[in-house]
Amino acid sequence: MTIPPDSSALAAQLLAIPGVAEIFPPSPPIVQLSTAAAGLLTRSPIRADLVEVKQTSGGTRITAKIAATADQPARETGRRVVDSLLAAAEPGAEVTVQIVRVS
Amino acid sequence: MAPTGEDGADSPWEDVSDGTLVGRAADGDVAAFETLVRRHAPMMRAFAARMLGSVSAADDVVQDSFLIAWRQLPTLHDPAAVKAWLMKITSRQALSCLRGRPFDRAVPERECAVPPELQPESVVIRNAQLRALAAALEAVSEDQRQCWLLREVAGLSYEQIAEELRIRPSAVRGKLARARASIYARMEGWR
Amino acid sequence: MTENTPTRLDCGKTIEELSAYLAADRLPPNPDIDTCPECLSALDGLDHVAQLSRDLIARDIGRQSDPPESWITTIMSNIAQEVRSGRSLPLRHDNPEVTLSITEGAVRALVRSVGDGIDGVVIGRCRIDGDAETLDAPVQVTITASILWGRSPQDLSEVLRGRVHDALRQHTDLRVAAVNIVIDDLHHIIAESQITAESPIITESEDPT
Repeated sequence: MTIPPDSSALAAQLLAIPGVAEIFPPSPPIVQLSTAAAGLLTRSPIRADLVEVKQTSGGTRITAKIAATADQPARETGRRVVDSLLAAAEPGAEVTVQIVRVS
Repeated sequence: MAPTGEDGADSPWEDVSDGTLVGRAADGDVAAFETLVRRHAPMMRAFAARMLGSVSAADDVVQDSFLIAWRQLPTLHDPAAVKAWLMKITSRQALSCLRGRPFDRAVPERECAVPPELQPESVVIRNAQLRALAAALEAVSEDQRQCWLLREVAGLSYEQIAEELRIRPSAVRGKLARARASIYARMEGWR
Repeated sequence: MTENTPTRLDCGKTIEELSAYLAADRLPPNPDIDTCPECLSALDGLDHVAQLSRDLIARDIGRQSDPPESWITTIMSNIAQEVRSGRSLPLRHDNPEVTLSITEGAVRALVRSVGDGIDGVVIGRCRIDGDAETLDAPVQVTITASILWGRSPQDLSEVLRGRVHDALRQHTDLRVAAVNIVIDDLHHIIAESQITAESPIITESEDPT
């Protein structure tokens, strides 16, 4: 067994890839209308992981949501991100990458 | 790194119609929605303040209304009719706010910044007329005032008002008639 | 002014009756009212009260202080939490353990920024029709746009279509069969109120290839 990759190390690794503008936590908090309207919305003190790393019975599952810069083909950026995550994880890891913005 | 506002911070869309902006906002464009907020908030706030008798309650209601509008925008069939739609949402939120709290109207009559003696006579008369109306509006019953504002300011149909107030359209008609007669009577000196 | 203002006119009709008549949009027509000068004058007055209500709100709008910027910021930060991602549109990758995709929301935003980059064009809606969640399934992209008054809809549509095709080819793996442009609005120079809701809609469709 290899040590599962560390989320923040993965995030730093992805941010260094050309074409990656930003990384977002895969599971954002849900806003309730009442708290939102009262202006009471505060961020959770515990920051969500930017890159989600989960151990399942099937192995490691890594999920990342990124914003790509428009000066490079976003689909190529996505492939670079995927390859970078695959390289960091044990063989057979399941990798999910979603591009949520190109700008 | 690119800024979050994909379309820039300032509004370049002053001349762009509601319909086009609604289309963008329905697709998820936050900046287009902000332009709609700035464009329509004044009317919604003024209307809600008259409904609720409180400026701060009105601001809360309008804030809520915009959040609901954002969620429901993709279901809006006629994007060009967004103003009437926003007023309907505001009406509904204002009414539910009224249902949920005790009656505590603080009359939102704001004093004019310019002293009367410095204003043209027509403006003085006009302002007196509007003050008389504001007072008359405060004097009618709560349900009559609601009907009145929903019909004459928010532009809701009798059927829509009936639905919002959970009464029959014929009852809406009756309340409106009584509200109008009573306001008219109270404004005798100014008509 | 007293609280007990008499509401019966000299002709015998009450203000309440007349107000009810107005509330019924003066239907069915009542000749007694429609031919009585006193009633007609009272009806005008009652009508005026309605107009005055709108004037009152207009005056309120002029007098109310602008909401603090933080009030707008609260609205905007709340809605920003509710992103409209839409569908996940797959991007190609050889490894079967990999799921790589771009959101429909990201593609729409891309189309908007490409379109807005063309002088005289403001994009409205962008719709992706077809089974966009399956690689290689053909899709049609339909875009509504507002153009600057006086510009050629045909020319701008051509430029817009070309740029959208390029951007989608560059950034996505969508198989775009057609980009349809609908110019349904005009902006600038003429005021919004002067544009009728039914201004001519120009649709430029592309034959699916």
